[in-house]
Amino acid sequence: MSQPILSVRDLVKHFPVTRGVLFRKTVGHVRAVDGVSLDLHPGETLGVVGESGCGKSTLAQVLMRLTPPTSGTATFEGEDLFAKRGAALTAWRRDMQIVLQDPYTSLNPRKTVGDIVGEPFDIHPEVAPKGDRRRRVQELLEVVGLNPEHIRRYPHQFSGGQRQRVGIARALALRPKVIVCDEPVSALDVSIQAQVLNLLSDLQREFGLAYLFIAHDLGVVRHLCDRVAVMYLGSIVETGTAEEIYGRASHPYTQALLSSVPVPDPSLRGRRAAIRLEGDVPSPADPPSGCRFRTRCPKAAAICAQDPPALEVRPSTDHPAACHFAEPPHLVRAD
Amino acid sequence: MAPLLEVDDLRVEFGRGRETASVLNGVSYHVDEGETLAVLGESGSGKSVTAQTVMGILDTPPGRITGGSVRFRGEELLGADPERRRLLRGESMAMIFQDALSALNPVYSVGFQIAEQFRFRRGMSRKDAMVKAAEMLDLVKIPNAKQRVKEYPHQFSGGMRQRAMIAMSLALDPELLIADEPTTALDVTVQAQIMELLDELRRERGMGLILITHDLGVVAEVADRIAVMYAGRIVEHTDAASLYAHPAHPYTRGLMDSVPRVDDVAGAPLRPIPGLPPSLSAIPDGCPFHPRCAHAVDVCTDEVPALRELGSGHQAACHFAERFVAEGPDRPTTHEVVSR
Repeated sequence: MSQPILSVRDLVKHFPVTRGVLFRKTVGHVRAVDGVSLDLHPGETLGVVGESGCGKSTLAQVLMRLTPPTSGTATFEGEDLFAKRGAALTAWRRDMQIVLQDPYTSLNPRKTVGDIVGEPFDIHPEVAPKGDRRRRVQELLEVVGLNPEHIRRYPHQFSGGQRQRVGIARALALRPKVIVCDEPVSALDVSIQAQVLNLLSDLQREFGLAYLFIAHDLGVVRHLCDRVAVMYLGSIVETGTAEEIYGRASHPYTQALLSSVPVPDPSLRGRRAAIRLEGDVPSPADPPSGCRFRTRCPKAAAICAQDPPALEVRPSTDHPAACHFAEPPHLVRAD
Repeated sequence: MAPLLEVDDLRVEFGRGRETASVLNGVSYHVDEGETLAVLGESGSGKSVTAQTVMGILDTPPGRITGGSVRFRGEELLGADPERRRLLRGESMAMIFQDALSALNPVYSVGFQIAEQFRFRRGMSRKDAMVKAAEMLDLVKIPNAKQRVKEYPHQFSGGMRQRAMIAMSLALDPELLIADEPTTALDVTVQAQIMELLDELRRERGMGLILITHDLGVVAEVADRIAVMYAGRIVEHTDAASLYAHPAHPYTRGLMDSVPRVDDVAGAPLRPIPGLPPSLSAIPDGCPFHPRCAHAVDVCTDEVPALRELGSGHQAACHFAERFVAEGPDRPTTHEVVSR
């Protein structure tokens, strides 16, 4: 396999919980990201799935250098990502861009689409000389399937799907190598969502992009991703190729997650084995001892409360899972 | 026997003059006792406005009901005395909303808000009403209901807030429950819990349930019948099994092709519906779907297709519905099912 373009090891991000106004005292930590390691290779899509509060968006923010990590390392093309300062940091930002979830709040309502998509060129003037910018912006709009004539329009004149295309055009402007997509389609209607997903695949093929694709929708992730990492309460509980995760999930959380997704086929009603989790995700400020998932796990035993299971390949599985009792489900043909 | 709820040719507009948006353009459906009708549609299709009109909570103005009728057990509700409608709400029909946090009042405890109904509708004392509220929380499977009844909405998780909303809506034992996107704001594992709870309560109480959603998966798991809405019209209406097995309207077929599924064959391309839903103040002539339809011909731009019967209760508003029914769905139907 090729060298990873982005390599993350034991990344931790804790947010302090403070009390008091004058004498602020730290009374605890929200362990948003708690020891995440992953590799992203050039041109591939790595999906990060998990429910709300599992730390997937914090992971994106830390990797984008929007917030500093508590500990851990990350390298981008072999260079230490968190050591970059000044000019080196600015230069790196060209290579890694982000597409945000909410196309309504992530575009400045007072700027025209041309200004929004062209703004990266103001910060990185070496990419496009001043006289050339308008043409470059129009090209970008065309690439993402918008009418280049609409360069003077404002975000409110576009629909949700079109706004997300503007956000994608902005991310593409500097020809990045990696795009972090943080829930890019979850705010869109189904028919529009499919258009944007197809656009993302086309752009990947055309520009050789690598995506770190963060989502909660398992169907979307299955569709787009080569490899998948499943997160629960700040850590990765299972990782593997899309085939391994969707076909042979071995962590009980992944299995429950997959069985909870409604499948649009009434003929399967009552025929799918349902694993229903009890209760809610515990607070990341006070996670359970041992295995984070044990409080909701149907397989939990005494050992789970003591030893946090390592993310590793177990005897009966072919990909890493952080569970003492990881085992593949047996497959049943439904028809 | 008259159905529990009957909506007939309902028409609603917003705004005036050139800006008039025709939000509902003749919506008809019915729900029987103990049955689940799913209303499926994307944003702006009119599914929520229909529900608000049925409940009598549509804001007028800006909304304007310009025609049609809504009958509950044969009784006409449009134009009925507001006091009569107020009595029906909660007692006969109730509604739960997508965003439970903003539907609950943050300055009163969850129990107090449920108890209000027992106090004002049943004349119970504060103390008795709180006991009943705790029973309701227990019914929707909130652990430690007796303690949690005194807690405030912000102390509840997203799933528990939605459970509290369900408890509140069922307090007066309504015969019809309208659930407007009840699980859209929730995670999948919690969504599964809430859908199971709703289905169980419907069965136990013999309630009619109208489930408003955009999620084809949720619909497939619980609905008896499905009405698909587009641009303020019902474009297809049939039982759940035949909708998925023989989708008749190109819009329904397009939706099904657009959804990325967990049981998909890896790498199968999505076939999205091109274009955008029409602006409701400028709905195209003829079939409202024709600008996005791959099969559109001249007749589609000239004539509005009526919602017509295709046999055995399957209705669709497409000039070529029979052809599509015969073709069956576009996508392959092999699945591998994960079981433990």
